[in-house]
Amino acid sequence: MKKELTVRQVCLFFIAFMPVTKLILMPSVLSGFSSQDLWIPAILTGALDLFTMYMILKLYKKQGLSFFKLLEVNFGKVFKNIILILYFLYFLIKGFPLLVEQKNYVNLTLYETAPTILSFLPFFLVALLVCITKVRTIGRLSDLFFLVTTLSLILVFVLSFSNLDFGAILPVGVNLKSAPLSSYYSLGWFGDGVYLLFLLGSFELGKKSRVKIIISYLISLLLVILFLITFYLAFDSIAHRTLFAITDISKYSTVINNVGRVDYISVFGLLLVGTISLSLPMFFQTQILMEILPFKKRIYPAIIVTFLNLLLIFILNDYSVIIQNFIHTYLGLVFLVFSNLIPILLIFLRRKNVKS
Amino acid sequence: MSSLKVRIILITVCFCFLLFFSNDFGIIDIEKTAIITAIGIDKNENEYEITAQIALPEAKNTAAKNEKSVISYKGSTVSSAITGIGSVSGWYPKLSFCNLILIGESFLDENVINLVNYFTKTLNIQDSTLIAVTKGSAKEILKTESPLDDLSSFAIQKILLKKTGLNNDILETDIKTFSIGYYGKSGYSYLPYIKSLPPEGESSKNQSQNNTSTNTGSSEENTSPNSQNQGQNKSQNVFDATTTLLFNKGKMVETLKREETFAVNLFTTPVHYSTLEVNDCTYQGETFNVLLDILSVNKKITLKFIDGKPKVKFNLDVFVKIDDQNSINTDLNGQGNSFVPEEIAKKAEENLTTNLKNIVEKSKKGVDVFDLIKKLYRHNYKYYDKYKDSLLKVATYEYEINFHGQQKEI
Repeated sequence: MKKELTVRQVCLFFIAFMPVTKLILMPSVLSGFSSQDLWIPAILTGALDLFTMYMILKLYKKQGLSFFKLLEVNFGKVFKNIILILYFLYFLIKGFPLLVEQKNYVNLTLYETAPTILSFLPFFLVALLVCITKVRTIGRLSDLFFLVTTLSLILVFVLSFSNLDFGAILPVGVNLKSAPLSSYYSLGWFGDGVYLLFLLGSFELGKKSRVKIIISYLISLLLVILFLITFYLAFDSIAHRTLFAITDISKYSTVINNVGRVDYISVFGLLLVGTISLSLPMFFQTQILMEILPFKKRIYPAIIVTFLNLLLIFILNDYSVIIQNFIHTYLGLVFLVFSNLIPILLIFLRRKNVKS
Repeated sequence: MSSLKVRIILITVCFCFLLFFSNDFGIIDIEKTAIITAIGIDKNENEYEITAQIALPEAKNTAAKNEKSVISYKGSTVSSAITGIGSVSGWYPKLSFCNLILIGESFLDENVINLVNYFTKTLNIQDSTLIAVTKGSAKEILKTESPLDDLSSFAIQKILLKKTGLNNDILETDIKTFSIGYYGKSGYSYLPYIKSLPPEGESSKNQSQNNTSTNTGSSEENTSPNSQNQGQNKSQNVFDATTTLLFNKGKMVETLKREETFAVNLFTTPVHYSTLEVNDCTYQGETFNVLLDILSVNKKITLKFIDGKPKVKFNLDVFVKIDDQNSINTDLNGQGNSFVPEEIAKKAEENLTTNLKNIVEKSKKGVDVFDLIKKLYRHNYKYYDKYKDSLLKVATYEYEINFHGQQKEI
C-alpha cells in the first residue's frame, strides 16, 4: 500500500516548519544567557534532537511500525492510551508558549493600536483546517512551504548583511559555562524529533532515506544557527533586549530606507509558515484523539482540539507571559522526557511480528 | 472532496489570511492620528516635558506650519508624557514615522539611558531613529524655523544624515547604536550636539566660537536657542551638529569639537569625497590656506600586547588632491590638482595627529572612542580582565598618519 508521505516530503517538512518557531523569541532568550555564544546551546539542543531522530529512524527500520502500533503491540491498548494521553498533554504544553509568542508578536508588531484577543482568532480557523486534513496534506504543505521558509530566511540574511558587525561574535566560547542552562531553556523551542516519531508509519524507508532525513534536519538546524548568529551580529550587546528578532534583524538595510519595509515580505512569509508550524502540535493532538477515541470523522476531534487550544489562549490571556515563562523555566524536564528520552528508549523494545 | 467544499475552504482560508495580515483590527482613523516626526525631551523640575513635532497637512504657510505642529505635555515618565499628548490633542500619537529624538541639555547631568531605554523597549518607534542633544531646550530647537525645510526636524535630519560628497564632520547615532554602546563592554556612546545658528555670515563666526568653547553648560556664549530666537525675532535658523558629546555609561564626560569629530570619522566611518581645511601652510616662502579633497582613506587601529603591555597604533593613509588654495604666487590647482607638496601634506599630518592626540587624551576619561576595549575583549580576551578598566590610560599610543597626492610636481 502506498504510504501517505514520501521521504522527500518528510525531509522538506523539517526544513519548512522547524526553523520558524525558533526565530521570534528564542534568539533574545539565548543571548540573555550566553551573549555572543548563543549559537552553542542551540547546537547542543539541536544535536540532542538529531540523535533522537537518528534513534527514531533506527527504531523505524527495526520495527517498521507507526508509533501508535508500536505502543499497542508492546504495551497493550490501555497503556498505549495512557501514553498517548500524556503526549496529548505534552503537545498542549509544547504548543502553548509558541502560540503565545506568535500571538504577542502579531499583536504588538503588526497591530499598532489596541490589539484585541480577536486579532489572533483567525489563526484558529487555519489551525482547524490543518487539523481536519490528513498527513498527506501536511506533506504537500511541506513541498510548498519549504520554499517560503528558505527564501524568506535568505532575504532576511541578505538584507541584514550590510549592517552586521562581524566581530561581535568574538571571543568564541567564553560563555560555555552558561551553555547547559541556556540549552535547557531552549528545550521548549526544540524537541523536533517527536514530530518524526508521530510521522512513523506514514512514509517508507528506502535506500539512504535515513541519511536524507538527518541531512534535512541538519539544514533546518543550520538555518536556525545562521539566524542566531546574524541576530547577534546585528544587535550585539542589546540582543537580549531585542524581543522580536525577525522584525528587527533586517530593517537597517539601506534598501529599506529607499523603498520601504521590503523585509516584511520575509516576515509575512515566515509568519505564514508559522501558522502551519504552530498548528502542528494541534494536528498531532487530533491524531491522538482519533487513535484513542472512536471518532468516525476527523472533524470532531479537530474541533475539540482547536477549541481547547483557543480556550486556553482565551482564558489564560492575561497570564500568558507568566505561564510561558513557567513552561520554559520549570518544564524543561517534561520536554526532555517526551521529546527525547521516550523516543530514544523505544529502541530497546523487542521486535514483534504483527500483521500490517 | 467536492469542488464546493474546496471552494468554501479556499475562501475561508483567504478570508483568514486577509484578517490575519491586513491589520483590519488595528486600523486607526487617520483623522485622529498625529504622525509624529520628531520628539523633544526636556527636564522640567522633576517632570519630563515631551514636545512632539507633528506632520499636519492643512497648514497654509511655512511659519504657521512649524508653529502649529509642535505640541508639548509634561509627565512623570516619558511614556506618560507621550500618552498625555494624545489626551490633550485627541490624536493618537503615532511614532512609527518619528525619525528624530532630541534631548534637551538639561538632562546632561544625569544618565541619558533613562530616556533612551523607553524608546528601545517600545515597539512603536523604530530603533533606527536618530538621537541628539540640543543646546538649550529641545522644545525651542523644534520650534525653530529653518529655511531648509518646513519642519525643523526634517532640517536637522538633513544635516545629521550626510551623504557621500558632503563633509564627514558629524558623528550621527541612533537609538540602536547608542544602546549597543551603552550596554557594550566599554559603556561608551556618543551623541551629536545640535545648535541653532542664524544662516547669515555670522553663523560661521558663531560656529567657530562654539567649536572652540565646548562647555555645554556655559552661559558665557549666550547663544542659547531662546536668546537667539528672541534676538533674531523669528528669523529662520540653520543647525550645526559638528560638536560631539561623549558618554561613559550614559553620563556625559567629554566633548569633541569639529576637527576632532572629523578625525574620529576618518577612523570609524567610510570617508569619500570629503574635504579637509589646512590653514597656514608655508610653501615656497608663502603662507596660505588649502582645501584638500579626500579621495580615499586606508585606516587601521591595532591593539597589540608587547611583553604583556598594551600598545595602540593608528595607521592612516589619506589620498588627497588640492581642491582650492588662496596662494598668490603658486598655482597648485594648475597642476592637475593631484600634486600635493610635501609641506602641505606634512601640515595636514601634523594637524590630524594633534587632533588624534587630543582625542586620545579625552578618551582617558573613560570614553572608548576608538573601540579599544571592544578590541581587547574580542581579540585579546586573555588580557581583558587585567586591562578592562585601565587600558585607555596605560596603553602607549603611536601615530602613523600620511597624506598622499597622486603624482609628483610637474
